[in-house]
Amino acid sequence: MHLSPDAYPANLLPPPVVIDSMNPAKSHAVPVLLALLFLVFAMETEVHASGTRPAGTDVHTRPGGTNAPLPKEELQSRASVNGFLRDAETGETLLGANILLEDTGRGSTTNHSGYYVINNIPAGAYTLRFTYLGYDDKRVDIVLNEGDNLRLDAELNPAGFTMDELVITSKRELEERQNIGSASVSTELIKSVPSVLQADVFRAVQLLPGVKAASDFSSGLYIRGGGPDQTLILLDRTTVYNPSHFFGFFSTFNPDAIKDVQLYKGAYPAAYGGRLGSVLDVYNKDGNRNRTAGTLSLGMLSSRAMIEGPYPGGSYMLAVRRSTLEPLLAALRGTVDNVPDAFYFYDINARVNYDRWENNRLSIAAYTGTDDVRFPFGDDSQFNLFYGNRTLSIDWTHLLSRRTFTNVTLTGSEYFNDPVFEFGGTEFERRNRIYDLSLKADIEWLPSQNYELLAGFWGGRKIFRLEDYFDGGQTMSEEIVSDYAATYVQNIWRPGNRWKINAGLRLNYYANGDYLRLDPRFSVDYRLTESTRLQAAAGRFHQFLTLLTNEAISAFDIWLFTDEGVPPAYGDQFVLGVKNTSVPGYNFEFELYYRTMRDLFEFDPFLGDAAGLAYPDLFRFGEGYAAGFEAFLEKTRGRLYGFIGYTWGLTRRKFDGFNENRFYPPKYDRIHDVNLVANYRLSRRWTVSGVFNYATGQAFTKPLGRTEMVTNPFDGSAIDVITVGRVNASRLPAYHRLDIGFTRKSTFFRLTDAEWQFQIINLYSRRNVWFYIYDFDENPVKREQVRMLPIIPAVSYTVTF
Amino acid sequence: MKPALRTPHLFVMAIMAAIMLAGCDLYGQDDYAEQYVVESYLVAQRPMPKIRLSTTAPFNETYQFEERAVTGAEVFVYRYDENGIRDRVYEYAGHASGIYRPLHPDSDELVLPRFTYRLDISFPNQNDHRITAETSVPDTFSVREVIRDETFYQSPEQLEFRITRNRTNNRQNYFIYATESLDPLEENLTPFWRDAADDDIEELVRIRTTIVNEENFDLNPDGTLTLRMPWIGIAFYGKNIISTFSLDDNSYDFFRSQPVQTGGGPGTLSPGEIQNIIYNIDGAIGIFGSMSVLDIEVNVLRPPFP
Repeated sequence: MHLSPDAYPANLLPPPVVIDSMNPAKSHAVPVLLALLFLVFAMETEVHASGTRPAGTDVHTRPGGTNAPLPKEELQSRASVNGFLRDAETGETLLGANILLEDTGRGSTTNHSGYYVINNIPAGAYTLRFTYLGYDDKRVDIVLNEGDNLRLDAELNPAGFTMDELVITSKRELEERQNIGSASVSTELIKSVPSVLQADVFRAVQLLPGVKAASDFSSGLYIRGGGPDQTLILLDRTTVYNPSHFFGFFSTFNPDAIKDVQLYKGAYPAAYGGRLGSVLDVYNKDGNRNRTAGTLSLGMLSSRAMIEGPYPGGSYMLAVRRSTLEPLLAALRGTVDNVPDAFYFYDINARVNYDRWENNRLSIAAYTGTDDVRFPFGDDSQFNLFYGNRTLSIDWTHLLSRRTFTNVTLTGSEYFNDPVFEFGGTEFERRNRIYDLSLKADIEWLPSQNYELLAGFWGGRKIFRLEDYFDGGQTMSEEIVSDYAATYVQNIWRPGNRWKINAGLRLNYYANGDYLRLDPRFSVDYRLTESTRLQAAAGRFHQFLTLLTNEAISAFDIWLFTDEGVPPAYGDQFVLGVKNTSVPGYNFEFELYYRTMRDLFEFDPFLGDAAGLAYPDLFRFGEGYAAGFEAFLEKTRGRLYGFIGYTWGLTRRKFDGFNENRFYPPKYDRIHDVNLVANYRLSRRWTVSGVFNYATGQAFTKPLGRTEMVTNPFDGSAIDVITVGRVNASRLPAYHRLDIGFTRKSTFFRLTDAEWQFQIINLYSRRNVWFYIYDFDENPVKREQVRMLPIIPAVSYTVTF
Repeated sequence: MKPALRTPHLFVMAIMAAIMLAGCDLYGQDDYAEQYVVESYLVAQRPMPKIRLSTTAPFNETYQFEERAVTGAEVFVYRYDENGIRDRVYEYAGHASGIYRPLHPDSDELVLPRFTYRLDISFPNQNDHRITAETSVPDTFSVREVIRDETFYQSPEQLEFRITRNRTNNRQNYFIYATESLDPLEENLTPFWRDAADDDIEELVRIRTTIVNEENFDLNPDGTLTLRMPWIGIAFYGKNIISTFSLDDNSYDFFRSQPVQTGGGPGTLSPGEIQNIIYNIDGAIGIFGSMSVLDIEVNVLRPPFP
């Protein structure tokens, strides 16, 4: 298991780490130079015309005359080396891996396409060292002449199992993963930590400091005081609007299909935008380039199958997951009341990769997922939930030159949600659709070792539809079609061996309402000592949509967009951080954050019927802020490894006309939150894992007084009235829970590898309180607890071939 | 090496200090404070209503209106015509504990549509406390055409009427429907309500909907509205009186915000978050609202096939 804070913006090329200052930056230009983008294109065209050629280099050989003549400006910058880094067994590109030119302090890390570049290397003989978490190191001797531009693709072998050491050999790689506000979650962590019913990406992310869960039943991400709508969720660079299954119990991302998960908790760089808070960037696997392989996993709630392999020209991956509850429901139907008539969910991830060209790679990725529940309750009433997502992305990666990496993606995303309720012959139906078509283009340019420029464009069209039907007739029809565009430029500058400055600008345009917004972003990283880094970041962020959500169940989630009279929300973020790696095998991180949220727009909770209302009248407007700090201590070596994360956080909101216009905490606000994740390798076959979480009880509103209205002229029924003081000023009992899991590696009839997982969720069956309800039939009113999960055992079996 | 070791220690100390500081929650829970409660509904073309005056009770204590009733208040209701001119003053007296009625002969007077009524309550022994509220009574409306007043339960051909459209404050109308069964026998219960009834059918004799906006119904070229009665509003087969209430702003605010306290409404508040109701009363909570109403008798037949 590893969980390492990560570094660089997705799809952008991480910068080389500069230890010496032999080669001072030639381009200490003022950041934010949009014009440079065009200059890059112009210049790279010239480079190609002058005959730079890619050189296919076997990494096991010592490259010799593989270098072509270079134009004058590249000669001046001496030699460089670049290429892709892959897993030797599967051919998957390795993201965020470290490449070090030994004894020079020069190095780089791979970007989200697995590509690296080290520039401005003086002529000479070197050893290039490739390292990546969980893989054996690799060293390659190279000789570089002045002006050489060496293409060096490499492959790493997965590390063999070691009892005493979980391999993190590269401090540099670790440091790259410790950039401010970011974290990386390994698929190994996702699969190994105990989780309810099945492994889940979001449940693993919720273990990180700064990330909270609304309840045991919700996989929604509440990051640094923001709600789920404030996190941009991308799958293969495509926006996913409601990534949940099973009423929100777990996310739609199939852990078998996932290659990389990057989380930017705050103050994220200019390459991203559109959300006030954070970004979760998920990449699916390319598919095994060397052999056909797969996994088959049987679980209590659902089962999964994944197959991947090569084909002439590239690789493919297909992962399918489907609920397997139907036989159980069929058996219960007829003997137990309130069993759903239908209940299933599925998701399919597919990816085809074509990479036979040396400087081009094309991939097509698709996702579809659906939940369908038909549930009768009582006589003559039922509800039907039907929702899901579909995404498609076509991604073209192109090396304009050794120093310039481009990526163009065409994305399409559809979200649909059609809940239907029927009571006594009267039907309520809602149809919500989002179609999001976009084109993204990014370019990464590294003119020198000390400076790099990232720039890009993201534009498209969003179509939003919301229709309500009551008793067969349409009562509301809202359609918003809006073009949007964003362009950014990001400059990474290293004015010495201690400083790294990342400055960027993002310009957002949203056609409906004609909103043009500018987001400046800035971060600075200062190396105080060899093992200690001080960091600071700040930025402005805009959000053009909001989520109408019920925290209890995400199946009704509806997205609403800005429009005339509904301006985008915006906020500022400020983050300070310290990262320390002075003790071998341990990483320590500390971050302090403060953020504002202004022009928040949320669906008015007092709006029972929206028919006929003007669009701005659907909302309440307000503001908020959040502050806190996070401490994270990770142990990465030995038979016992894991981490402990602590968060002290505070978040507040206020809305006109609510809570006497005072700030108040949302329910998910938790002051203290501690997560302890520990793994212990008992033997070569057995591993035990444990997760313990303690958190301050969530906020709730304590009823202070009551009265009763009994003379209404409609039906004369008693109407109970609760009077409250400060909203959400009380706290539920503290939350704590311990989950444990055992993993046993075995074989499937000696044919292939297999794995048993035995897990117990909530080991001591702590019945944490979710919320209170009040029984007004009793006098005085009786308060009752609605509790969260009891103890739940789970078992799964996975075969890998 | 020393600086590297020293730095974490400093930060651990900083963290501890911050935790200690963080222990003080500045947003503490406040205490119960007693409030006056007003309840009164003015219905156009019906007699001036009574006014109930009481106080709230602590939430964890037993609630009985009689124990919370407020007596000895001076209660007046002022009437203003459409031009804003005060033309009438109603003096109320507490005929029963906490229940105030207009003094005779004013009690026989009807509430006038389109007029504004202002409530003014003061307390002789509490000079500085005053309760005031104001409501403008919605205009009346009428049936222009009975399209269907008898039909089979859950037939596609619903109970349907064409009504005139009143305008209230230049906004759409907000309706609440109430149904009163004239034949409330247990065997007449419709399936949905039979399941919901438990053992007590008394509470189903009169039932009501939540707020339904006017835009849910068809607006005809002649300016009338076609109302179709949703089947969920029928609890008993047989004869029923359907009352359509057109709400003033106070009633609209009260009846759209009150259900949210117990989980109703659009359900966007987190479970456990409770907001105060929108009252539109100064110096008290409760409702001083008005409405106009239209009653129509219908006959709901049992479906020919079960």
